[in-house]
Amino acid sequence: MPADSPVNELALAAIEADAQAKALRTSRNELNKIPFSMLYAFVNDPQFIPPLDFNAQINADNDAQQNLDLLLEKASLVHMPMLAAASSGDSILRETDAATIRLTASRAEPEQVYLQIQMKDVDAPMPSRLFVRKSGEQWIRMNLSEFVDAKVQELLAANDPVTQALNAPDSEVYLR
Amino acid sequence: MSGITVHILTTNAPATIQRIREEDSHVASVICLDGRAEALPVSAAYDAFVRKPIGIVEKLTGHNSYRMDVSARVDGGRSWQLAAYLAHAALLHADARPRHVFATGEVDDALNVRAVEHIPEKLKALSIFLEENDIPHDQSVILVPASTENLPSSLDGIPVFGVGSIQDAMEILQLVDHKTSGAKAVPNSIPARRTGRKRWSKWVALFSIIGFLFWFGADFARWQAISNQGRAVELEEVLSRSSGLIDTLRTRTFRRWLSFSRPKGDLVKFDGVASVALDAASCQHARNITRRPITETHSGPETVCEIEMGAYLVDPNLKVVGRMAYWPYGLGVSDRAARTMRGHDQPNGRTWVLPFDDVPGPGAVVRLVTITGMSAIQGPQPWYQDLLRAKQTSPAFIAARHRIERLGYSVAVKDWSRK
Amino acid sequence: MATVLENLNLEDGKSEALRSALACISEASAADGGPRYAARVCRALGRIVVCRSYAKPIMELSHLLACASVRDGRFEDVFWGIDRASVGEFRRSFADFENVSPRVQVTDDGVTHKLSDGDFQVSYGRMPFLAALLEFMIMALGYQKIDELTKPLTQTSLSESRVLDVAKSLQRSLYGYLKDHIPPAQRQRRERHFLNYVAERGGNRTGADAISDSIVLDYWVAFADKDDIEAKTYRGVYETAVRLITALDSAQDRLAGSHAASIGTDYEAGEIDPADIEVVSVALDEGEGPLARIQEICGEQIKFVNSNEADLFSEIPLATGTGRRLPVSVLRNGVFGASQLRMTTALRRKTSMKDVFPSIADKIYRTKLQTYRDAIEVTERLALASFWLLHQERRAEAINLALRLAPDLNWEALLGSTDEDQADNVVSLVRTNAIQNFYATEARAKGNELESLLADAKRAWRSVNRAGFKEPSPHDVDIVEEAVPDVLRLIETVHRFLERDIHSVDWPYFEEHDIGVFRDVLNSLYSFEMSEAKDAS
Repeated sequence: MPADSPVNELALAAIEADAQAKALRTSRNELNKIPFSMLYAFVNDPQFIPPLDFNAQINADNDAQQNLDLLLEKASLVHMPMLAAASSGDSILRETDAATIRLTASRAEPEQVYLQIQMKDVDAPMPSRLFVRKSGEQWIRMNLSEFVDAKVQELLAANDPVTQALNAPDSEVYLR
Repeated sequence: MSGITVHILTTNAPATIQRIREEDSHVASVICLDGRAEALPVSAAYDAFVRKPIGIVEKLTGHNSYRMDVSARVDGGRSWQLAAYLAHAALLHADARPRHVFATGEVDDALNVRAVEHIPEKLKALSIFLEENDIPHDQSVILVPASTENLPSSLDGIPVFGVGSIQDAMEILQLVDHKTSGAKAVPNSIPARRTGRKRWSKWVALFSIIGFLFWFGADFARWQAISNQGRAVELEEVLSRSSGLIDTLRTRTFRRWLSFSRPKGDLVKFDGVASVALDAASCQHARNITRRPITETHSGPETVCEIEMGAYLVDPNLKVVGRMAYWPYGLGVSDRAARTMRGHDQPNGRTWVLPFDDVPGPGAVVRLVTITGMSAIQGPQPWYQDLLRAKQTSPAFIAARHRIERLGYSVAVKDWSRK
Repeated sequence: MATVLENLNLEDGKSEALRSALACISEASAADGGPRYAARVCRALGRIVVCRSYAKPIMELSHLLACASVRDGRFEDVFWGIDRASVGEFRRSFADFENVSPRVQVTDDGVTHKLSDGDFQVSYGRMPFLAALLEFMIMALGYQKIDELTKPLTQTSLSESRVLDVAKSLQRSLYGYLKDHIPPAQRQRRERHFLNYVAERGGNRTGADAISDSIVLDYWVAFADKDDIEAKTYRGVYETAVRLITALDSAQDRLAGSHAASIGTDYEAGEIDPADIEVVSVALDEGEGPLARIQEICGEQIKFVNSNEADLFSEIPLATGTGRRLPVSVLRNGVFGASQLRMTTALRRKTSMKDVFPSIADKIYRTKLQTYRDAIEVTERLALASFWLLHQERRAEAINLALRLAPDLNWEALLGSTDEDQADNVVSLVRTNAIQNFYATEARAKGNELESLLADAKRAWRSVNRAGFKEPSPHDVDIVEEAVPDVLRLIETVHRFLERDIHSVDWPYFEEHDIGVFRDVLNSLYSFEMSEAKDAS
């Protein structure tokens, strides 16, 4: 059989493809890509614990940031886009047709605040997670306690990243 | 905070109420751990305890939102209520004499103090706490529900009081409380009476009978007291000790009285929920579980992960206790049930939740037995052995039911089975 | 204009993006830390990317996306709402789709997408791979792009042509991405050089038949010390030969089977059908061999094969054609290939070369063959022991095992399960009784054939002292059941080699002949005898 017969060519092409596939499987992953399945779990699985360097990885991965934004947009029950939060006494209030989020400083412990979320449709599915992002930064996720009568209240430290993000008037919020 | 330091008795160690401070009215009341930004799970119950219309603290203080800080975790249930109320009351008496108050008990909306569980364990934990902490015993009191049986008069030199109402507690602490009606509290006092119209008529009848039977002596009243405290086994023993004609007549008459006053009819309404999933592995993830109203049998292909059943009193003046038993291979097939549960007290009844470690296969049975009466049974309850394992038509079951009915209680049974 | 080096770096960067996307798939983990996608799924994904044979899978994926979207317009929950992309998880996921829409029919084997112009079925067995493909496309093209392209699939009414349109747009996008990101294939110089050598020496023989033991040895002798081709190690040459035989046999079958009429046209055009390349490259996938499958299934939990045995069995060719054509080369690789490795290791570590080369007195090949026999006997004993376990646990695989362990058993007489006069409608009842009888059979050494087989199996079970074979958990039993078919395949492969492939080889002759040849070549490469002498002095 001549060395360049169709059988030989196909065999060699397959060997080359096999070698190429093996080479593609050995990645240094210097680009530090975050698997999409991890982003999905971050948005949808309350028991998911992100790796310690998750934020650093997200910061370095523009594609993952875009994927995450779209996942949040599609999966969320309530979206509060960047808008000036209204101040009401000692509280900061955000309100849409679907929900109200209120942040109130504790009179008892000034370094702590109460986060209250009230859903306006008591029959709608209740969220179990809050995502908040200050402009230019990454999403922060917080699991919410169970809603009772369409309301939930959480106690946070004033310097908690969630508190600080919610305090920023230009931050964006999703309830999932 | 006043000079009175209130501690919540728990089975671990007393949790000291460190501070109570007001919050904005729109904020739900919280119980926090030691000043941290951590609201304990019991906070929702505390908010209901504070805020009108259900809560009683707001009626006392005029404000509807508080932050309470405690030194140790307080679990769910309602046994923290007595201590919490007294702590709020103490705030209104800033000049009260310094004391330590160790308390446990449920407080209802009529400010009666109701029974709670695990008192012996709580007192034992308190004893250890007292050894390890410098608490002046001569400036301390221990307050528990009056219905607690076998109450010691003191613990490590600290007097123990059974209180039937807030009024009792306030009098012991010498705090004036004009909101409650008067009744002097004494150690191991009899719990306060309810004042429903039905009970009123029953009491009239009782005193009439007592008056008619005056020459039977004080034993009748004593037996009634034991019955009111739910000490059913003790009552049974006492009534079985009769010797001689007069004794027999008395016990027989008392038993007739118990039978007459025994609540009858449909005293509890049952409902329940079954959580099902495709298979046992799916039971681990909430998203795979479907909850549906429970039916007497489950014959579908799905795996049952958990069942919840509730028994709710038609007459809120009655009390219900009960047990739920799980028989994986059939009712009474093995020596003992795989699981037996006492359930959780609820405002209007009792609930039982049974998550299955080994999911029920064909033939598995869950039996719920409730015992309803004028008082909640305390102490040993040997009748459950037959009530939980025997067929309802069997002599053993009938005998056990009859036994408890003779003591003034009514039995109801619900069986659930996996086909 | 960019320099050659800059272009090279640019290309390297682009292919690293593709590598990273593929790495994300193989490194994606489930909640327990195990892989989300099975290794064979990741390998299959790599193959279709390289071979660009993704048209059919994308079509399947499009139908699957349409089915998964039918409940609430979102397919994401079906694909990523499960912990591990496995057949069982997809089956459970789609169980919730029963009666949700007339367009989607859930069956025991998969889901059927019922369209006005025809039905399309996707089996559960394909879903893990399609899920990996989807996630890869999201990593490569972006979630936004995939969301836009697949939006038409979420509509309530769909036609086959609409699904086809979506599939085509996905294919185009992927094609565009791969065009920019797949690095150029490395021409396999070594294989081509070897094939040319074979063509010159093969005589009348063609294809894989032209590759023989003598050609492999002659090639190595001729080129071991040459710098322009990588042929220094005998093991490397042997593995090249094995790879070529496997690929040539598979290519021959493929071209003979499906494209015979168009060979001339394809050849003249210089094009090779990507689907053909993919099929042949599957044959090269070592991960599909029984040894790799056993190791993947069993992990550290069930030790059907320990590491020493695994090293031994890895020397025996698993593909049918290799052992038959290169029986002596197998042993040469096992003995002298290992010897050469010891020499290079000693050189690298600057340690002694003493005893790195075998002696004629060792009966090198016959000893090696006995080592293989001893090792496979252990595996057979473990298979027998697992028969006892699976029989006691009433697992279906026990029947298959029994049939393989004792193919000569008179099953019909043993189980009393036939009666020629039975009507057709009692066949299933008879079969059911036979199965019940099978599991009810007890172990008795002096009983009938099945009973004594069970007694042997029970004895084997009691004597085994390996991980997973002592007090196995229900999960361990699952693993044993899953691994047994590959264990049997391994046993069959090794026996085929030991009994058929090497049947007529004159081992004493080759032992004497090869010792001389290998000594000469290895001395010329490493001067190992001089080193030995030096060490001795």
